Amino acid sequence: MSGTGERALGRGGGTDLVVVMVLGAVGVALALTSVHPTVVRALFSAPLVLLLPGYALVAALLPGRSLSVGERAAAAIGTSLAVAVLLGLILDLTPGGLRTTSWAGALGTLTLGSAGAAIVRRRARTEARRRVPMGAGLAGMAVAGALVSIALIAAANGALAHQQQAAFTQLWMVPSPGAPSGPRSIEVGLTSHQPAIRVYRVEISSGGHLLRSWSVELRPGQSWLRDVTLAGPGQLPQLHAAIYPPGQVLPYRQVDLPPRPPGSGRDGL
Amino acid sequence: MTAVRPERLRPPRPAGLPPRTRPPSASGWGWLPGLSVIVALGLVLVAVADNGARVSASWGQPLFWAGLVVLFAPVAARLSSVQASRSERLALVVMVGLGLYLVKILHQPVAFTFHDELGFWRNTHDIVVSGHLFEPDPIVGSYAVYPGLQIATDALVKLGGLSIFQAGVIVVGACRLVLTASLFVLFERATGSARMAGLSVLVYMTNPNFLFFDAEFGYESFALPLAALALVVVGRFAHAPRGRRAGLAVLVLVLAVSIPVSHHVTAYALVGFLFLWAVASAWSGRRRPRGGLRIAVVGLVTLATVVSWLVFVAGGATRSELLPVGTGIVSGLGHLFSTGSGGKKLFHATVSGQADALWTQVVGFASVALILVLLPGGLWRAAKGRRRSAVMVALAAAALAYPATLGLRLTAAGSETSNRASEFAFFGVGVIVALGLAALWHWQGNRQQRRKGRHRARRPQARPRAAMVAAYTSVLLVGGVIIGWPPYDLLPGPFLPGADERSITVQGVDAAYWARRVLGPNNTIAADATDALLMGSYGGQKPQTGEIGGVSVAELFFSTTFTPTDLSIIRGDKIRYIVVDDRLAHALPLQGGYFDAPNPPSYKATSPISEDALTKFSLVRGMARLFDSGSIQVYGTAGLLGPRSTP
Repeated sequence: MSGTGERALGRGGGTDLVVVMVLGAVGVALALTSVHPTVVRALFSAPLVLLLPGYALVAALLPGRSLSVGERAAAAIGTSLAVAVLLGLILDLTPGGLRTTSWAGALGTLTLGSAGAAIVRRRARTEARRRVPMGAGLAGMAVAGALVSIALIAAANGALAHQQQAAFTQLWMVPSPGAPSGPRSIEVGLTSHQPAIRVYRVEISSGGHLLRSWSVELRPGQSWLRDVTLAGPGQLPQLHAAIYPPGQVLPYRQVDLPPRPPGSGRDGL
Repeated sequence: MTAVRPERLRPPRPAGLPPRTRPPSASGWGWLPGLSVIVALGLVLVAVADNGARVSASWGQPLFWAGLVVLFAPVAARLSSVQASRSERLALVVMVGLGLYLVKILHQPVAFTFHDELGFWRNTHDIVVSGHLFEPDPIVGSYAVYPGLQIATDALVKLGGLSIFQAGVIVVGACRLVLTASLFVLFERATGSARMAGLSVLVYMTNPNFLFFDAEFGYESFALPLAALALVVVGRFAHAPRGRRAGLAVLVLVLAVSIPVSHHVTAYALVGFLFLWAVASAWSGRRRPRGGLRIAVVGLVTLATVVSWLVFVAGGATRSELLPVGTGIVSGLGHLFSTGSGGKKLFHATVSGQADALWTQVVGFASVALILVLLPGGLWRAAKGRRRSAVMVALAAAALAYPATLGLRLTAAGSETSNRASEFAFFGVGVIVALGLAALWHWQGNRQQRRKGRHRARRPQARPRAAMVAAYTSVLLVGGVIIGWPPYDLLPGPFLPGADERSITVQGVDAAYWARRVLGPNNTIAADATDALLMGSYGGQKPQTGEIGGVSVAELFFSTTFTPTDLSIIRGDKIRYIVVDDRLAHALPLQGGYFDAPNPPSYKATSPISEDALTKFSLVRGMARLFDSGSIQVYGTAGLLGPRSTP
């Protein structure tokens, strides 16, 4: 077969597969070294899971032009997903299970092996390589991409702002985890989901007697935690904890622990 | 000898005839860049609408619909044109498919909130932590035994260092791309026309589940695209020459085994369609009978995988999930036909009975009617087509299932099934309706010619045709969304009780995270449906539903004083913690009920739960009020149960 448009083997006939192998190797390396920032790692690992294994496998199984561009793109991603499922089932049977190292090894081996086989199979064929026109309308695509990014950022900001508007503060009191013979201690905690700085008076009492009191200032999203050890032996008494905004006498939040044996820990909740 | 230009060899065009339309360009992106800007503008409108809805702005919903139409209609108009190239058509449908996917992401851009998503999040989290599959899922048991989606997401989490949400969004987005591209190729093969393929995919995207349900982090969103791809590859495999058959067979095998492992119903639909296709192939392809045989073999391999998976892994969980649905439909329809009562009022909330807005009901009915009107014409055109293929016969049969599924909407149990069937039936509806549109154009063209006394068929004007297609498919899209998704869930907004995603707030999510962090995972808890879902997923707990000793667990939340029955429920189910959301006392649930467990017989759903019933736990001796965030409290029951026994 001869004619214009045909390209001899070795002149770009395996360039795409070499790129696949390089990207696959880089993706494996970044995953195994847990490199930061995460966005760099994610940029290379996403193709390693979603595109490269399928592309290489399809190229190895069908080295010619039996699939159209659309079919090949869909097959590359879809086969990557299907292969991931099968590999996952196999890895589950191994003692290590589904780990970063086993995933990197499995997907990396499949990608590099398939790409290598595809290069070998392509050397045996002579077919024209079809070009996909890419240049036209890049400006329009760029504008579209920018608008989509704006939409996503706007939505994310809107959602986060809405979350911040749903203002609330959490209060909890639980026995501190401890051995049965351990001290009589409890954990009291506050987390603020208010949009601005809040000040609270935290009080722990028992039978109407104030045991502990703090003034706590919390920024939005900040938590405050205290482990409180109560003096004396025997059963822990009934405890009541409450928080009060400045100048308020009614509790804003309140929690209670009933009497309990000492050192019963959180299992006794 | 001087070369003669080809146009000089053509006879002159008779006077009075319209100019020849320009042929499509052989390659190139045509209007794609400009339309991508318009699609992106539509997404900006949807994002603004979502933000407005979060603060209950009245303009939120109208702007949402406007954004959807802006995203969809111009592309529909372009796809009706004869001038777009194949590459452009493929790129347009993929772009619209991804654009509609982003509509769902804009709805909740920071975390999963749909019911199924939370169940899959829980299972994926367990896999990420343990490194092994098949950890029991307390939300829906079958999720754990169809782990395809979770496996792919786990790979991306571990290799990319992403959160489950981030990885899940990427995986499902990739699946959406596979679905739209595969459908385009499948429909192109069936119709022999890239133009029909583009329109068919567009019509497919108007099915009621495309916008939200098949975009969620769920197993059908993962398996359905693989099934579409499988059909494309099987089509190649069936008639492949000897040299390519082995490679295609391997691809088919990979897909045929991965789909039954990922989603039960998709696998069943795939098997059914393959056998239908094989029969059609045997009937219509007498010159190449082996094509049908190969398709049948693929069907058998898929069926064998389905059966094996059911027998060795997923049988119990699948039966628990699907059998009640089937029996519910049968009994509901039987009751309806025998007594004439018990039917579901269309476009009405099931508990409050509140009706949807009139215009939405009109558009919803219109979208169904418009499909039914064009189905006969499309089927006629499919039957008369010069390039009638076996896959077209099979798709036509799938389209005929659509009217049959509409009857299921008359019962509450069948309504959900009818909804879930649409994304499968629309494989056929998409292509048949597109052919129906083409039949309509030709009928219009012939009618114009007859009016003008001409006997030669005339192609309809491009602009009226484009406008008609844009308007028609926009009605289908809006109507499909109205049918497939409750109105209060279309956009985000303030808390509503018993209202699916609208019941999920940051307060509930944070309470769940607190429970996992402070109480530890895998404690049995009792809670309303929303808090049970959050505690069971983000909280890592085991929510209890159903009945104990013939008494519903929900009874705990309805009695205004703490009774011996409540104590027996706590002790019988060994409930360690009770989660109370006092916002339930403010309004009736919009759908279903407050709880996954059956409501007690005394509850008539005419008034919200009493506030006394929700606050009674503070007065119970021995019960610990451990957590208070304003609307949500968590109570510990060890004082009633006693400490956990050490294993």
